[in-house]
Order: sequence, then structure tokens, then C-alpha cells
Amino acid sequence: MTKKYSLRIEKRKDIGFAMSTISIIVSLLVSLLVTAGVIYLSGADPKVVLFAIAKGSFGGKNAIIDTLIKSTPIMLTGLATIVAFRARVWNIGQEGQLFAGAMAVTFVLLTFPNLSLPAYLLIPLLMIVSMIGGALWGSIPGYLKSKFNVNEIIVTVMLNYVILYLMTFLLNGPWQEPGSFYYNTIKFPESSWLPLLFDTRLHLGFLVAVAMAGLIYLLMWKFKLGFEIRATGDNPVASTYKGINIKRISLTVMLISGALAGLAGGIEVLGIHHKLIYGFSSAFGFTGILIALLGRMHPVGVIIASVFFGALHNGASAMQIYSDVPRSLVNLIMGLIIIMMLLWEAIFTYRIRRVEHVG
Amino acid sequence: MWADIFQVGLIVSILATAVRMGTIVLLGALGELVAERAGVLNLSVEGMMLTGAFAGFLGAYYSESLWIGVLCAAIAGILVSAIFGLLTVVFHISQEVSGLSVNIFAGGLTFYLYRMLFPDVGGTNIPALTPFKVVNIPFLSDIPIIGRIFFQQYALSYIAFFMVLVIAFYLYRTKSGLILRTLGENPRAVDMKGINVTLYRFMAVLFGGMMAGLAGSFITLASVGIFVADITAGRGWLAIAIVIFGDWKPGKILWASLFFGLIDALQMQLQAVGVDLPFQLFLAMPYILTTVAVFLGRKKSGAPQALGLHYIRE
Amino acid sequence: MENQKENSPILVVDSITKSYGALVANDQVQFEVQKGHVHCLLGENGAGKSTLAKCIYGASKPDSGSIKFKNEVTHFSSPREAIRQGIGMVHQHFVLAEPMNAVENIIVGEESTGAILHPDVETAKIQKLADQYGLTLDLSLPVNQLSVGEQQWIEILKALYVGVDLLLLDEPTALLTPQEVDKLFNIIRKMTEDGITIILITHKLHEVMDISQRVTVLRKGKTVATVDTADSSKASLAELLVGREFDFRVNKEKIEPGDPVLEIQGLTVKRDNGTTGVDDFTLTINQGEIVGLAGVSGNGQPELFDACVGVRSPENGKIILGGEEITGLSPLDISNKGLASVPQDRLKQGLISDFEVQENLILGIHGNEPYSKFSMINWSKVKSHAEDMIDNFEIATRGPDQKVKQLSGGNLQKVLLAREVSKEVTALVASSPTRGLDINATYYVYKRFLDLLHDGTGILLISEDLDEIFNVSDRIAVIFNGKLMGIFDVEDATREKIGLLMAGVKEEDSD
Repeated sequence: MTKKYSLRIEKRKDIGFAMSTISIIVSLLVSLLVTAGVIYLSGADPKVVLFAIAKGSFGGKNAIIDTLIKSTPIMLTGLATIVAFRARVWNIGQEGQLFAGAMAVTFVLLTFPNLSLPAYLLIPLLMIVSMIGGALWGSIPGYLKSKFNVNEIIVTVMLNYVILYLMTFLLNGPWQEPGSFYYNTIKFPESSWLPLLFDTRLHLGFLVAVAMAGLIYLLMWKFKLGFEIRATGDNPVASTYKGINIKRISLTVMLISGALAGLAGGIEVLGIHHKLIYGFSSAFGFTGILIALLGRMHPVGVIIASVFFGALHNGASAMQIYSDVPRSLVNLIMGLIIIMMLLWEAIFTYRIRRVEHVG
Repeated sequence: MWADIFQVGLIVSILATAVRMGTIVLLGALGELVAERAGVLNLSVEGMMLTGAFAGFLGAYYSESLWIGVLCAAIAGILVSAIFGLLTVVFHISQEVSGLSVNIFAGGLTFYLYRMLFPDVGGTNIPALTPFKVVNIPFLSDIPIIGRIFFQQYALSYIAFFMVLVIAFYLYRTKSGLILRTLGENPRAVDMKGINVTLYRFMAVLFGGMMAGLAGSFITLASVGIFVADITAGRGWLAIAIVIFGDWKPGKILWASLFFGLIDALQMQLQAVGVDLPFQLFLAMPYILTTVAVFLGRKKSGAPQALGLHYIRE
Repeated sequence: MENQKENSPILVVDSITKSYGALVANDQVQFEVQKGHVHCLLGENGAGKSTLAKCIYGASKPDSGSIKFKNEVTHFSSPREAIRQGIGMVHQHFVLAEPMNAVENIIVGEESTGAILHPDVETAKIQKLADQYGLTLDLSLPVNQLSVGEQQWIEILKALYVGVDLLLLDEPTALLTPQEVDKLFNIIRKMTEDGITIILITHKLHEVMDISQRVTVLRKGKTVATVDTADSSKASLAELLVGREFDFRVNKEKIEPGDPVLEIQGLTVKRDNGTTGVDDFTLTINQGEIVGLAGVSGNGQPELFDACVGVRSPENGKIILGGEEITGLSPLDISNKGLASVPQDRLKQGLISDFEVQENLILGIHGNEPYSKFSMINWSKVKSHAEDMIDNFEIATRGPDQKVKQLSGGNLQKVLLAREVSKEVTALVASSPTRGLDINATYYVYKRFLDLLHDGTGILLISEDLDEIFNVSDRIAVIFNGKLMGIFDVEDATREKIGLLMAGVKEEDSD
């Protein structure tokens, strides 16, 4: 009997950590190549551009500070996304929940102007307020999904727009700074300003965000709730059989997710602008989704991805000085990386085996 | 105030605008309808629309032909949806994650290319082109009231209406349409008849991409003649909601689209008339109503049973 | 007439062997089918009927042997080809698009329909076929508004529409009422009068006696015999069906059964589609005993399991665990009150595939001490528990942190079992617990069951494997169409008796 060999493509049972890591590396490399190609086609020198980005991201103390500042809100919205997506609740409303958080803070500060609390009391209070605001806004799709099985994707996206217009109305009306032609409130009292760290422009918010990442890690992997969230997302059927109330989980994750996004909003207005101003968020909410996907749904990944993203943004500003390439290259790079990551992980789930035929 | 509104001329103007605004979501919804009827939930409609809007603008700007722009938009939509199709229909990656990722990617790509090609944009220096002109259908457009509303529209609107008929015919009267509908309910039934499920679904996705691209081109080429970031303003998501609200039927989707177009039109017109309510309320109306619509539609029976589920032959 | 047909078998199955890994599903299966006959394939679950059917209608290629259809060896690469040649199959689980009507389901994808559909023409064609065979169903109604019997006719019409000479029917009466079964058999008779040959796969003896001319009995992948129905009786077939095999009875000391631990009283449970799954079912399991529930798949076992576990609410009846009523309680409450359960589908219903071994080992009890305190999980306790279980149950795994989806079937089951017995167990309901396991893993599971019995637990073992039932049960009950057919002490139960009951034959009418 002659032995014949043929190649067969088959799917692995599980991709495994090693293969997963390799697929990430491959996707980053391919993205880098494609980016270089895009830069080249745009008429610029890839080496110069990429070097400029690197310099702008981490070259020097100011660059690093800026990077960390930029990473703060998206770290939080990235965490917000993780909590929801891990339960397979597709919260696309981080942007709106972020606004809700900022608006809640604004509401408190404007309604109680004579609140003379010292900073060490006021700031934590306001942070909690922002979380409550975000959680409330997130509770709407959460409740609709858990009680009525309404699709949370559409609802969260729609509510983003609704609250944006609400905020615009308020900023152009009752909340507008008297005498101003712009959409912003009066400046918040100094006791509400987030303190700066180490004599730099970096505000407390960054530490809060990192602390939150730690807390979310604990929640997801050390607490019963996190266990149930992960179980529900992976296998709702088995989870139901083993006593987990998946409807309650849907609502809970929306509350937590909303709270984190709301916190992001609160921190941005208290740390950077010290007032509520139209456009204070440059798509921090949506970027959070990007960050969560890049960070592979893990808090550590989110920290890395958000710093990476912040760095890229910084670098892109620097890049503009050296070349004609617009800073929105960053958006392209991030989008490219995500697609690549999905693609390569899928490709690496297959393997080629030599199979023996007998006879 | 209300007396002002109830002038016939104003009403007709509002309704005509409604048709115009409704065309955008109608095109997007029809494309998504076909994809969902085949069982694929494509969440990247917003991204595809944006890409179409940009490609359409670009194509028309450089070629000085609006119809070339429309063609470019369609092709762009197809290309973007091909990426989505590859990830989800071929590689069976989660449809939600794929859709969101493609959305992000399309947004990034579009924004970058726009800035790349038009670096000195700002203020008075926005690249613009002359958009489509309204096409009056001879004879029909002279009918009082109805003529103004339905037959003095852009060419793309007529195409959209025509597509409603085409798609309805396709779905319910052709062999291929029957296969598509069965795919969305029970892909195994189709597989057992020897038809390639993956290929069919992929084609459905591409069609959805083309329509979304066309929808985008309508925004830049028939409405305003310029391109700005986020020009789609959530209409892609609206299209997805309209499919649900329209119970996955072409006729109902047409009415739902026109309804949302009406809300849009009302919002613009009422602002102009100087109604007392804050204008942001009107801007928010379509989105609030969509949320209500999705809530009301939660028990809709028309959802394809295999929607969102991957088919893997056992 | 018989003699004429004797010379022209329409189908010859010649030494068909098919294995799936180590499992030999068909072992040199051999028989012939005459044209125009209704030929039954009789066997229990696991006898190899489905595998054989797949080889005949083109869904599978046998490892060796050949199949001759109309005197030509078949080389089908897909069911599509088989249909084109004239062999069709009606599956047990219908493949229908439910919101669409019969006509649409039948014509979808068929080459004979043109690119543009002409519903009137197609409907007339199909109506004619339906009338010809006495199939009275409304072709315009969406399929989900039709009864199960009518839905099945659509599957049959699919084959008739294309024009088959040989039609296989896989357990067609599994979900039908007796009246629907009568109708179906009339239709079958009409089809054979028209020259269509029918192969009926079944485990029900009365059906064989009712409708067939010849029957081939399969057991554990082998052909036992092919006989003329006219020369057989239910009893003789039952004997062939279950056989007298060497008793691999597990060495068991008889424990005196104690108080009832699980009482099921008058339980009626509906399926998702509205049909009755469990029908006025009453059964008591006592401390220290294993009650084996025998029955062929699809007779209400999943619904019974779901109701006990709390995932499905019964229409009627009560379930009492350790003296306390648990009907309608949540799965978490029922589990905490001491009901352990091993579901039929390990990966889908029992385990989280992306979770680690240690995480799966506490699923369901993760909220209880000592694994959890103040809602925080004590991972060191979880880990040491996992290490204990891995040791104890000899689970072949790299460690407590290995992802469960990488484990083999036997080890998955060990994880499940280990988890279920990690708490105070009043009663255990196990559904097909040793399905797909090798000998060692199987005996391991039985050993664990015995340990539980010694601890005062009672076990309800739901299984489709009759050998297993006989090997470990103290008492044997039989479920058929959701009803309890009978219950015996194991000493009083014979394979024939149980086989008949499983096949729906009540004691009074075994002729």
C-alpha cells in the first residue's frame, strides 16, 4: 500500500496563548507595513513620519505627560466597554454616558454654588456624582434589555444623540455662562479642580483611571459578580442551568459600564476644562470601544492600549510639524490594527496538517 | 404659531423634504434588509454610509461628474462590506464585534483620506461641488400637491423608490429571493439543497454595502455638496432600527423611512418658522422616536430566525 | 407477486463498515431491500441506524463496503446527488423555514423552478401531489402554524416533488400523536402502491408489525437478522432487539433504600413548541437507590430533566426534594437545596468552555462558602478544591487553570461530576452521564455514583443505553411519549419486558 499525503486545513479546538500572542504580533507588524505603505503613497517618507510619531509620543517629559493625560478618559471608557461586552451586552452608549456624568457634575456645581466643601471632600463627591449620572443614563438601555429584551445596540446609540442635544440645549440656555457667545458654563470653583501630580500638568484623573482598571480587574476575576458576568457572556445557557440570573446581569453591567463612562466625563471636565464646554469629548466614548477591542477585553490590555492611543495622538501632532501627513492618520492606524487583529486571530485558529491516506 | 404651520404651501414643502430626507435611510435600510433576511446582522452601516458619502464626494469632485461619484460611492460601500463579510461570514467572527470594528475602521480611513486630500480645509475654504438638481418627472410633477411632494425629487430618490419595488419583487417572486429568505430562517434547509450558504450570505452583505454607499452619496451629492466629518449623524444606525420597525418588509420599511424623514423635515422647518420650543428637541426627535420604535418593535414577528447566528455545517 | 419482486432488490447494502475514531458505528452491515416494500431498520439508540442512513442517502462515505442502488454502486458525494438519483431522506428533526409556507419550503433551491416564481403553478403542482397521497394540509399557511404531523408531510413532499424511488424515514413517529401516525402509515402505503420503496428507521415494535414487509435488526453496529415481518412477532423482534448479553453488572452491595429523596408527582411539562413532553409522570427515588429511567431519545427526558433542575416550569404536578417542595423554584435555589444534576449536553448545558477547570468546578456553587465570602471569591480555596478534585477524580489536566475546552470528553464529565458532588447532595439527576466515554471513564462514573449512594443520596439515571440501565439500577422505570410505562425491581425486569415498554407496547398487548 502506498502512503499518500494530503494537506488538510482544520480548526483548532482552542487558539491557545502562544498562538494568540503570535497573531497579535503579526497583526501589529502587518498594520505597520500597511501604514508605511499608506504614508508612502501619500507622498511622505515613512521613516521620517514614524520617527516623528515616536518622538512626539515618548520623547521627553512633556510628551509623556501629554500621553498620559490623553489616555485617561479612554482608559475609563475602555473599562466601561469591557464590563458590558464581557457579558455580551453591546453597550455603544459610552459617549452619552460620559456626557451624563459630566452633566451630573455640572448640575451639582451649578445648583449648589455655595457648597463650600474642601477639595478632599468635594472631589470624591463629584466623582461619585458623575458615576451616578452615567449609571442612570446607562440604566435606560439596561432596563429595556433586561425586562423587555429590547436591542441595546440601537438604544444606546440613539441615546447618545439625545443627550448630546440635551447638553447643547442646556449649554445654550440655562447653563450658559452669562455674557458668553460660546456653549460653555461658568468656570467651576477651584476646590473642584482635580489636583495636579508631581508638579506637572498631569491631573489626578490619570491615577483614578488606573485605580479603576485595578478595581475592574478585581471585580471581574476576584468577585462573584465578575465571575457571573464572564460566565453569562461565554455561555448563557449553562449559566442559567447553574443558577445565574442572566437578566439581572444585563442590567448590572449596564449600570457599571455607565458609571465608568460617566466618571470619564466627570474627570475630563474637572481635570482639564474646569467647566462644561461643548465638544469637550473628542469621541472618547467611541474610542473606548476601540480600546477595549485592542486591549482584548482585559484591564491591563486597556491600560496599554489607551496609553498607546494617547501616544499616537501626541505623536501625530508632532508628525504634522515634520510632514504633510494629517494627524488623523492615527484614526486610520487604530482602525487598521483592529481589523488586522480580528483577521489574524481568525486565521491562526486554523492549522494545516499533513494527513496520511492509506490505500 | 400653529396657524402659520398649517398653510398648505408649508405642509407641501415639509412633505417634499420628508421624502428627500427619508431617501437616505431608505436606501440604507433596504440594503440592511437584504443582509438581515439572509441572516447577517451588519452593524457597520454607519461606517459604510460614511465611506460612501466620502467616496461619492471624492469621485464627483475629481471627475466633475456626479454620477461617477455615485458609482464610486457604491463601489466603496461594496469594498467596506466585503471586509465585514470576510470577518463574519467566512471566518465566523462575532457579528457585533466585526460590525463595530469595521465601523471604526471605515471612520478612520475616511477621516484620514479627507484630511490627506484636502489639507487646507476650514472656514470659507471648504471644498464643495454643485450637487444634483431636482429632476421633475414630466407631467406627473404638475399634479398639484402630490406632484410637488413625490415627483419633484432628486434622481436618487426615484431610484430608491424603484428599489423598494425591485427588492420586494426579488424577495417574494424570484427563486433567488426565496433562497435568501430561507437562509435567514433556516440555513441548514438551504445547505441541504446543495446551495453554498457562505457565498449567498456574502453576496447579500455586498448588496447591503452597495446600498449603504449609495445612501451616503445622497447625503453629499444630493443634499449639501460638501463633506464633513460625521456627516451621516447616526443615519446608519437609524437604518438598522428602521428594518426592525418595518418588520423586515420592504413596504413597511418605506413608510417607516418616510416617517423618519418627516420628523427630520419637521425639525428643520419648525426651526425656520421660529417655533417656541428649543430647536434641540427637534434635532433629538428622530433619535427619541427611534428608541420608542425599537421598544415597540421588540416583539416583531418578522425577524429572521437565524439572524445573527453563524451557520456551521455539522 | 412476492416472487416477482424477490429478484430485484432495489437496494443492496454490502458489508458496510463506518467508524468515527475508535467507535465502530457500522460493522459489516448487510441486507437487501425489495422494491415497493416498506423495510424497517430496527434498533435502539447507538445501534448504528443513523450512520447507516447517512451512508445510504449520501451524507457520509462508508469506510468499506458498498451500496448498490438499482443495480449500480453508489458514489454520492452529497445528499443532493442522492436525491437526483432517486434516494431521499426525511430527517427526524425537520429542516424547515418556519415562517414560510409549505410551497416555499418545498421549492426553495430546486432547479425545476424558474428564476421567477409562479406560486400558483407551483402550488397546483404540489397540491396535486398532496391529493395523490392523501396529504391534507393547507399549503398556504406558515409552517409554524401547522401541526407536527403536517410539517412532516412537507418533508415527505420535498422528496416526492423531486421524485424519489427510495425514501428513508428516520424515526418519523417520534413526535406524532397516534392519529397522526395512522395517517402517516396510510400515506406510506399509498406510496408503496405507487412503486416507491420505503425504509423506515424505528425502535417501535408495533410500527414494524403494522407497516413493514421485512425488517433488519441492528444491534451495536452489527446486523442481527433480516426477517419477514409476517413470520415475526413483537416478542421475537424484542428478543432480537435487545439480545441476551453477558451481564456486566457492577459489583454492588444491596443498600436498603431509605426515605424518599426525590418525588415527582403527576408532572406534566410542555415543550417549547407547545407539545406535551412529560405527561402526568409520577416517580419516587429513595435514599441509597439508583432508579434507571429507560427510554428512547425524544420521549420527554429533556423536559423531565429541565423541570427537576428548575429551568422549565411544569404545567402541572409537583416535585419534592428531601421532603421540601421545589416545583417552580429557581435553578439556584434548587441546587442549593441539594439537587445535583448532570445534563445531557456537557458543553452546552453544563460547562463554560472558556473558563478554567477550577472555575467550572465551582460554577453554581460559586456564591457559597467557602469559595465565596462577602461576594468575593477566595481563589486559594477554589484552587485547593480544584487540586483535590483533580486528584480525587483523576482528571487528566495540566492544572486547575487549564481551559476546559481543551479537555477530552471523559475528563469533561469528570469535572462536571466533581462539581456536582462538591456540595451536600440530597438527590442526583443524571442524563446520559456516560455518553461518549470509554470503559474506564464509564466505570469511574459508576464508582462515584455508588459512593453517593453510601452517603445517603438517591439517583435518577436517565439513559438511552439499556445496558447501562441494567448494570447499575436498583429499579428500572420506562418512559414513552412522556408517560411512565412501568417500574420494576431490577431482578424482576427482563430485557424483553423493558424493550417492549420502551417501544410503546403495554404489557397487555404483547402478542
